[in-house]
Amino acid sequence: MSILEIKNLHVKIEGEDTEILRGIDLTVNPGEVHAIMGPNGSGKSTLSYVLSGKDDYEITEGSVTYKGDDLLEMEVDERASAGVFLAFQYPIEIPGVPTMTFLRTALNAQRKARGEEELTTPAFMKVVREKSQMLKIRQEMLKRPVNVGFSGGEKKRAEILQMAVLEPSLCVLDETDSGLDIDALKIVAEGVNALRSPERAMVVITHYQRLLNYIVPDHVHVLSQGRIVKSGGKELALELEESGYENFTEQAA
Amino acid sequence: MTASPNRTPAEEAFVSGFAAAEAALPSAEWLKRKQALAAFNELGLPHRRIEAWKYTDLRNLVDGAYPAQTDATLVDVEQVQELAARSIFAGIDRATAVFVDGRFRSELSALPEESAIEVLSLSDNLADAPKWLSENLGSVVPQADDAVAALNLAYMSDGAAIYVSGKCEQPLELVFVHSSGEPRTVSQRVLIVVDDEASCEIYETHVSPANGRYVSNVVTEVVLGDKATFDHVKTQNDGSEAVHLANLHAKLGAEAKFNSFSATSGARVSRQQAFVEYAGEHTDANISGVYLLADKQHGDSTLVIDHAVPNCTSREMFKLVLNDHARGVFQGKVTVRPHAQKTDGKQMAQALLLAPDAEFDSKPELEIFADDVVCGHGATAGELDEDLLFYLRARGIPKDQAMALLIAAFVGEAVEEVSSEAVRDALNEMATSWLTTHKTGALC
Ligand SMILES: Nc1ncnc2c1ncn2[C@@H]1O[C@H](COP(=O)(O)OP(=O)(O)OP(=O)(O)O)[C@@H](O)[C@H]1O
Ligand SMILES: [Mg+2]
Repeated sequence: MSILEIKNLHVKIEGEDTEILRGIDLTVNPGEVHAIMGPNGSGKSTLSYVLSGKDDYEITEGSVTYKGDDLLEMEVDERASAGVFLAFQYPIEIPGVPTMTFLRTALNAQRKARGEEELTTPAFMKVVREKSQMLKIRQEMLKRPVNVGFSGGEKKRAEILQMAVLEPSLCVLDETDSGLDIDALKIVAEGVNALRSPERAMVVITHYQRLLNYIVPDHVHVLSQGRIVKSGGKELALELEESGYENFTEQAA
Repeated sequence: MTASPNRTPAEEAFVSGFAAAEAALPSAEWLKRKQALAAFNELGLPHRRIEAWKYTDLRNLVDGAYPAQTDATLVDVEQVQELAARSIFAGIDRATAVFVDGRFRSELSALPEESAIEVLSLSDNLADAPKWLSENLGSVVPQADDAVAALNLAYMSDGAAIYVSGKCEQPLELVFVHSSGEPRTVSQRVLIVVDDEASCEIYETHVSPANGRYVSNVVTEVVLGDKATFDHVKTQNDGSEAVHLANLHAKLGAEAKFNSFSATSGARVSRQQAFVEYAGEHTDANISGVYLLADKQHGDSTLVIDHAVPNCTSREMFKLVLNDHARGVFQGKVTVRPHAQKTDGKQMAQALLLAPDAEFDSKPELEIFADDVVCGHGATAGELDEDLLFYLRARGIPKDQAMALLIAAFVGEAVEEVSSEAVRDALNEMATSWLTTHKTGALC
C-alpha cells in the first residue's frame, strides 16, 4: 500500500475563485523520496499545507489517501499523530512556549493518540539530547521559546529536530534548504537521511539541485501553475538546473 | 442622617447602618470613622458618570443592601482550613495571618516568629496603637474623592498592621476567608510599613465558598522607607456572587523597590485600584497582574501612578483572558510632574478574547509635564493567533491543549514579573487549572 496517494486534487483559497492546485496526481510509496521543484507561486507550499490540514483552503475536487485512509477527513493534529509531518517553509515563533515543553507536549500527545505510553522526562531528555547533537543544535537554543530569536537557518534546523524527535512516516520538507549555509545544509541532509527507512517516505520541496546531491531522490516532479507537468528520475533535477523551468511552464499553459 | 430618595438600597444601608455599626466596631480617638462616613454620604457609590468609574458602575453593580459585618461570625474551622488549603502558596514555607469574615483568627494563624517583622491585629491594637500605625493609617496617598476608601475607613472591622524593621526571611501570607451567609459588606484594612533598607514578601489570598454574597472591601496601605524592598502577590478567588473592592495605596522612599502582582479569577465584580506616589528618587515600581474571567465576571484594574520626583521607573503589565461574557477593564494613569525628569514609565495591557461576547475596555492616560522622560503605553485585544494554533496542531497537539499552551504562554509573560520562582510556578499552575475548568476549547 502506498503511503500517500493524491488523485486529481483541485484546491482554491477559501472564498476566492482562482484555483491554485489544478489537478495533482502523485503516489508516494514507502521508502521513496520524491522531490518537487517548480517556480515561485506554482503551488508547492499550498500542496504541503493541504496535506497537513490548514484551514484556509477549499478542496474542490479529488482525493488524498494516507496509508489507506482519507487524509482530508482528518483533523490537523490527527494527521500529525498518524505520522504526517510538515517542515514549514517559514517556521513561526511561539513566544512564551519553551521549546522543550513544546517538543514534549507534541511527542506525548502523539503517543497518546496512538495508544502508546507517554515518555518519562529522562527518556524524553535523552531522545532530544541525541537528536540535537546529531543536528548540532546548541542546548541553549532549546531553553528558548519555540523559534524565538532563532536565525533563519536555526529555525530550519529546529524543524528537522522536531521531525527527528517525532519520527513521522511521511515527511514533507518545504524548502528546508533555503537559508541554510553550506555546512548546515550537510548537517540537515544527514539528519534527514538518518530518518530514511523502508517504511518512511519523503516529499522534498526545493529550488536547488544541490540539496538533492545530499538527499538523493527516487523521483523528481516539476510543479507549474498548480499541476505536475513533468516527472522523472534524479537526473531531471540536473536538467532543470541547466535549462530552467521555461520549457515546462509552456507546456502547462 | 435622613434617608434620601436618590440613594440606592446599597447606599441607604451603608448610611443608615452606621450608628449601630460604629458602636460595635473597635474605635480609637484618632480614627475618623464619622468623617469617613460623612465623606461617603457626600460621594455615594461611584457610578458611570464619574470618569474614573465609567466602565465599572458600582451604583448599578452593587445590587442591593449589603449591611456591614461588625461582629465575629461562628467559625467552621474545617471549612476555613479547607478553603485556606486552596491557597496557591500552600506549598511554600511561609507565615500566615488568617481573617475570617472580617476578623483576625489567631488560632488559625501562624504568625511570623522572626524579629524583622511584627504583625498586629488592627482590632486589638487600635485603642493603644503604636505611632507608626496611628500616623499612617488612612493617610497613605489619600484619595479625598474615593468612596471605596471612605467606606472602608468608616466600617473597617479588622485587618493587619505590619511593621518590617529588617530583612524578612520568610514570606507572610494574609488569608481572607469569607464564609457563605447573609449578604454583607466586610471591610478590612492592611497597613504595611517597611523601614529603610528592610524587605519583605507579602502574599494575599482571598477565598470563599462558591456562592457567598458579600462585598469585600480591602484597603492596603504601604509605606516603603529608603532602599526598602517590597514584593506583593495577591490571588483573588472570591466567590462567584461576590463583589471585591480593593485599594492599594503606596508611598515609596528613595531607591525602594516595589513589586505588586495580582491574579484575579474570582468575584462577580472586582475593582482593584492602585495609587502610587514616589517620595524619593531612583525608585522602581512594578504593578502587574493577570485576569482570568469567565461567565459574566467583571474585572477592573485602575492604576494611578504619580511621578512626583525625578529618576524613577514604573512598569505595568496586565494580561487578561476573557471568556464567555466576561468584561475586563484596564485604566492606567501615569502623571509625570514638571520636575520629574528621567522618568521611565511603561504600561501594557493585553486581552485575549476567547468568546465573541467577551469585552475589553482600556483607557491609558499619560499626563507628562517633564520633557526628558521615556514613557509608553500599549493596549491590545485579540483572539488566539490561528497560525500559532495551526503550528502546534500540526505537531500533533490537540486543539484544546494547543489553546491552553498558548493561553498559558500569554499569561506567563505577566507572571514573569514576579520575583520568586516558586510563586511564578504556582501562578502558572493556577492559570493552567483555570483553563482546564473553563473548557476553552469547547468555545471555538
Ligand atoms: N492565502 C492566500 N491568499 C491568496 N493567494 C494565495 C494565498 N496563499 C497562496 N496564494 C497564492 O497561491 C499561489 C501558490 O502559492 P504557494 O505558496 O503555494 O507557492 P510556492 O510554489 O510555494 O512558491 P515559492 O516557491 O515562492 O515558495 C501563489 O500565487 C500565491 O500568491
Ligand atoms: Mg513555498
